[in-house]
Amino acid sequence: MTTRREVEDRIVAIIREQFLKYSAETLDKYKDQINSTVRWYVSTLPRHIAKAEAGDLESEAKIAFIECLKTWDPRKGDLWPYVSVRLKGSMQDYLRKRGTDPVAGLYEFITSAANVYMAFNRKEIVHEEVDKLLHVDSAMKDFSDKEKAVVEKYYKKDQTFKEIGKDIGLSESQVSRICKEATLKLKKNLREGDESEERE
Amino acid sequence: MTIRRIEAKEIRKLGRPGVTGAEEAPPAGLSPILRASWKFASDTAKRFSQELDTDPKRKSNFVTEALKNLAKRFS
Repeated sequence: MTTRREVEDRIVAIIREQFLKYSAETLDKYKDQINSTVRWYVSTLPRHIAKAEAGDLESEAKIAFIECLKTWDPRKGDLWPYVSVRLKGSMQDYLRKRGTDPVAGLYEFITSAANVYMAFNRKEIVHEEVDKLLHVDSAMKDFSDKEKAVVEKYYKKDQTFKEIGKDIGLSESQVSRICKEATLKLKKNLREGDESEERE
Repeated sequence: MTIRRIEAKEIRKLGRPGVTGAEEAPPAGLSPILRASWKFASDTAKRFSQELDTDPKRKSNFVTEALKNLAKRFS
């Protein structure tokens, strides 16, 4: 025998099905509230994360809102209190996943490594751009000896972290860490150099 | 004591004395299960419609559509 609760659940499910056809309208109605929640959350983050992730967090919040429409039960209360807690949770989950995702980290590392590699090899491709190479050398001025050695061996001689470690007496993971830090530093210096040239 | 004759076509409205406005009666031809939960269904449809955009016409259309769809699914 069907209980009253089961009948009510079925009624809610059927009406919700109809309601989901209008999810775009509902999203539009709550657009401002979603944006202000995202802005508030972004304001609590460190600046470098906030700057890089604000757009993605907004999309993530909108996706979470649509997901909430699929599970919201009007018998248990209003929509916004139900949604607002989950929006914050979804943004936190996104950042947590992003932080530990090896593929995302690797992608960033490969991109920065590729940029530096391109900067070094321009000499072979375009001779007029020797300036750029000099630019790279000047960008490496404030590097320590270890950083210089690692960057040069890794990008110029195509040596592996293991081989570099053996040469300079460090472990493979130490070399990897130094290389990553040096690459980011180099990239930053090159960018700053480009910006100052543009200003001139 | 007087005996009042009830007309066959008299419209009977649901409600209680002291309560303003009669409750909406479920339409004829509903399945008994849905008829028993009609008030709940109608309230739920209104509740969902409040979360749509602010256009009142769209809201009332949503309630009508949802209840029609519900009647179809329960038949």
